[in-house]
Amino acid sequence: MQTSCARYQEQQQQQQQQQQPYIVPQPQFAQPLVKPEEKRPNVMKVIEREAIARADIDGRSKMFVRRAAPRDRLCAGDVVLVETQSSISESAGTTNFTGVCIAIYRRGIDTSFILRNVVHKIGVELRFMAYSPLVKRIEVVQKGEGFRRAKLFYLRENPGKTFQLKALRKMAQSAASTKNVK
Amino acid sequence: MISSSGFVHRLLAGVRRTSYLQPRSMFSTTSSSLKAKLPHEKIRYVPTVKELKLGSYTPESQRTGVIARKKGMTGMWNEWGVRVPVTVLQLDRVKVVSLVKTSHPSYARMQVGCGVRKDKNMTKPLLGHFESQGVEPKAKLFEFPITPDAALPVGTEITAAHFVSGQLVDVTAPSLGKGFQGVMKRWGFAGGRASHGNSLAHRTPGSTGNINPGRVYPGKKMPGRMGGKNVTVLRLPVMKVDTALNCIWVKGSVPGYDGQFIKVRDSIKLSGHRLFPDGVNVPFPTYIPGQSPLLPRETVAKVGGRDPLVPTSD
Repeated sequence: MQTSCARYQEQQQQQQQQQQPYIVPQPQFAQPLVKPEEKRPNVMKVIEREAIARADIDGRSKMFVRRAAPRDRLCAGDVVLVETQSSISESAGTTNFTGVCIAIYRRGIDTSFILRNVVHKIGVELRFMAYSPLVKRIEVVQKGEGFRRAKLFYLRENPGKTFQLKALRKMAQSAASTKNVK
Repeated sequence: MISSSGFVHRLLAGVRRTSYLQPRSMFSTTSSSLKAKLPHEKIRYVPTVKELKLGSYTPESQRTGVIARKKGMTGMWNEWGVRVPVTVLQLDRVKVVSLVKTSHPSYARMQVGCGVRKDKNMTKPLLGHFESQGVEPKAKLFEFPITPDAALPVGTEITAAHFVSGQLVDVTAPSLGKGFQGVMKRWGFAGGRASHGNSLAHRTPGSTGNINPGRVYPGKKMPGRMGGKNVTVLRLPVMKVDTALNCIWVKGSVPGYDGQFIKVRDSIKLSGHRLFPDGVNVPFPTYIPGQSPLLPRETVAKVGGRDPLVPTSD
């Protein structure tokens, strides 16, 4: 619950931003994010670190850390729910897509992953840029079990029981209900 | 060697010359101009600058360019959520090395240096040049045409804040060398058929001329060395200026390899474009830390316009 004072301050900030001919990215880092052991830091590494820190509003970067335990990171085979908005100006209209993660591309700020689902008997794959401002929420609905590859492209020909509609619908519903409770 | 590129470009852009530029008439009848001028007498103009002071930018002014190093490419999302590829150009200890002697104020030029080079790797003439100017030996030197009001004192450091996020820049650098290349890659020729009896002529140029004049014209497009030439990419928007890392992010790609010296200047071919966004304070002749207004560390360009991700009603 925002007090009227806080709302007024936010409005004033927004107005100020609109009047300036440039945008100041939030949050501001007064000093570049350089690790203390880096004597001659590589500019591109520092830039990537800052960009990810800025885009990492809800801690989603932890999902893409390669060295984390499988239960803490996103793995191929997990059932994932992604909530996206179609444009910045229409922030209310969000779309949900649930699917099995069949590929993860860890490329710094351009990190992306592919979700596959069977919608009305048609296989649909969507690739999401993890740090895009249009991607509102990434949630692992269920951890995958028994997937021994990093890229599950074989599921296109041999899906097995992975895309049983009932199971995925149930998981999407449970995810939506946990979100409402929060 | 006097280059009139800056003058010609301003002329083509339709910019009027101001009163302080007195045109020299070839047919003047004053006695001093009737005397033949020796080369050392002709080259006698040096842009004068008494102190490092902020000036006012006019549309006829031409600020100095800068030498930056291409650090690599990355991406960013603009205010509409659209991903934009950017090249990071870092200004590496860019300093004004000398004010060049030319023949006329309309050809005023300034020499700018970037990077640092060891004394042992420099020739004695170059070392002497840096010593006489009082600047440390620079790895790369380049001259930029300027208007006299944009002159800076020797030794002034030019930082990333010289550029304004949202402005347009031209970027010049040698392109990647491709070696000896055939006519299909080098000139975009169509080549020959892949099959249907084609004998040994799948990637050949074909005919090189007619019966008359019975020779091949000079300049005929043929295989040869491709790349490694200076290429200028025009009107790249500066998406972001970072004063702490001293780098600018330009949209799109830039010729050459990572680590290369890139010449960056304010765009000059501006028919139908705006060099600077509206309402911006142009740092003229450059950003001076004590005098210019304070800027946030990072400024990102405002793209403006309508939301491209919202479909129009048509």
